[in-house]
Amino acid sequence: MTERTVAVDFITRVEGEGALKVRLDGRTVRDVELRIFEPPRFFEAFLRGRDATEAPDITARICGICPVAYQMSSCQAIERALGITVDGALRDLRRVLYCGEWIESHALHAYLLHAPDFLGYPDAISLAKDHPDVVRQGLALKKAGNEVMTVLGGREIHPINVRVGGFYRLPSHEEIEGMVATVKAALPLAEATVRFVAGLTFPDVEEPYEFVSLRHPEEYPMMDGKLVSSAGLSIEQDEFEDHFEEIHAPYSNALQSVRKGAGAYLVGPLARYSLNADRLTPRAAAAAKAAGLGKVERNPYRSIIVRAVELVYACEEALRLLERYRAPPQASLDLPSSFAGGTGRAITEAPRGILFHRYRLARDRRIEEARIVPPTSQNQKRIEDDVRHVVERSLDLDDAGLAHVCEKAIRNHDPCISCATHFLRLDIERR
Amino acid sequence: MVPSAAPVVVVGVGEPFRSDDGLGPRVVAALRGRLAPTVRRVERVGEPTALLDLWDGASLAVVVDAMRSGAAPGTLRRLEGDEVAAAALAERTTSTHGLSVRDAIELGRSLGRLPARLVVYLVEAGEVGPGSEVSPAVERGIAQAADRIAAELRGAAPGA
Repeated sequence: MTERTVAVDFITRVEGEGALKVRLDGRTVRDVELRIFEPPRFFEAFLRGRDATEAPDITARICGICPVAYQMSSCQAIERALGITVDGALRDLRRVLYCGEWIESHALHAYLLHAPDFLGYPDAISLAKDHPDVVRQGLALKKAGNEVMTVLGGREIHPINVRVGGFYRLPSHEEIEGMVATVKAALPLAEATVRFVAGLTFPDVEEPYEFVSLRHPEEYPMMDGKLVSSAGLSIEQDEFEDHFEEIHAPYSNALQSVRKGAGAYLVGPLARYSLNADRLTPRAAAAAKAAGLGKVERNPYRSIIVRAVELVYACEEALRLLERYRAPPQASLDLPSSFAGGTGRAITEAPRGILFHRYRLARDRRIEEARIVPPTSQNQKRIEDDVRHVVERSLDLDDAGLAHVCEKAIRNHDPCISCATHFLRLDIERR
Repeated sequence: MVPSAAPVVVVGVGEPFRSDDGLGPRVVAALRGRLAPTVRRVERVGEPTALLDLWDGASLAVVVDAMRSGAAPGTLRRLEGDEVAAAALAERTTSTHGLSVRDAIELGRSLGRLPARLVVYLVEAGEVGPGSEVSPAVERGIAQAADRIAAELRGAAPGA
């Protein structure tokens, strides 16, 4: 048996940085370790003692790409603890804001981070040199999402306009009209995105994922619904911790999530789509069909098609909600004047999968304990399995080639490693 | 709505929760109240392709970022024109995202979306581990960078 070690610094084109180590013994894959160096529970620690109403603004800083997801999960968890429900026009506006984040995040990933893998370019810059129109289209879509986030979120990054109970400021009539125009213009670009990515060439691979996502009685899931899985799980959001646990891998600072008694699972676009394809809006459903997606999609590479379909969905849904919008009487619900203390939990669908928050609040509304389970740490173990499988299929590649296919396998899941980690380095060790 | 590009923009890049990597936003924060009202100050972009929108149509864009070139922490460098291309190609800035400032500049060049003039201020970072404080040497570099940018823009912005 020969022993070989390959080291590749940095997995590029994922949000944030982390490290992957692959150990090969001849033609046997011994270990795959996705190491995540999380600022360990940094935010959970400094949320303690803060007023509950500060949680949305504090947790929004965890991720530059999905701040809205952090705001929505934290607001809803705290609102549940306080016993209030944001509905009607305020809920619609929150959903539009979330659509903006999906549009921005999916456009960034599909065009600038993921598409180069399929077109044979090392990065978006070289892609832009040969296909400037493709990249321009991606940036135009991303900008549309950004505009929605800026109007409803209050500024371009780290939105500050969301509060427990609703918003600080409601959009003006002109701002609503502006968003309608922006999203109307973005919708055909999103449809063009589906056509573009459906024409790419994909490895013929299926993974036996257990998919986990929210499921709502009517809507494609974003902020509400039960938590369901392709293995038949169907639970309330409050029961998340009864069925899922985090285990500590010695090589990683992040905790790895497993479903109790079952193991690794996958969250994100493939899971959402495969468990909710029947909830898509008409144009999104038509785009999915034309792109050749079935009811369930298990090919991780084809997640780029699902993201594109979700781009269409997010545009269509935002338009539907904006067109029926009538300004509510107040921007935010009044918080209860007396509170006995309590715990609230919530799950929302970040672009890359479910994000769980739990807060235990004292009588004076101070946070006694916070728990945040980001989507990337939930996918970490399943991504390791994907990498193991791609290595097994690619043993004849040289080290550089092997490193490249591992990177691609990781990138399929759009890991937001900046939420969960930093410094992605790649080591391949062959024995 | 997002105002379309101001004639002059100053933008910080970096992650404030990664110690010295947060120096770009700190420099731009230190410029609060020291620039003409026509200068648009953006303390932080989360993801560098946002730079393309921020500087599109601008007569001058000043970008402040952390660098790791091996120089002493706090060392300040100012790059303009061809220097940006040459130096930015040689040195990767400390970005927590897949696309770096270098990538955004190259992307802007490929797509014809660069400002008329682009100036990049880089301050050498020391510690970039988790944390919300910057080291004393970098603190001095931040003050120096803010002074130099304020002085430079005094001559550049209308109404200054």
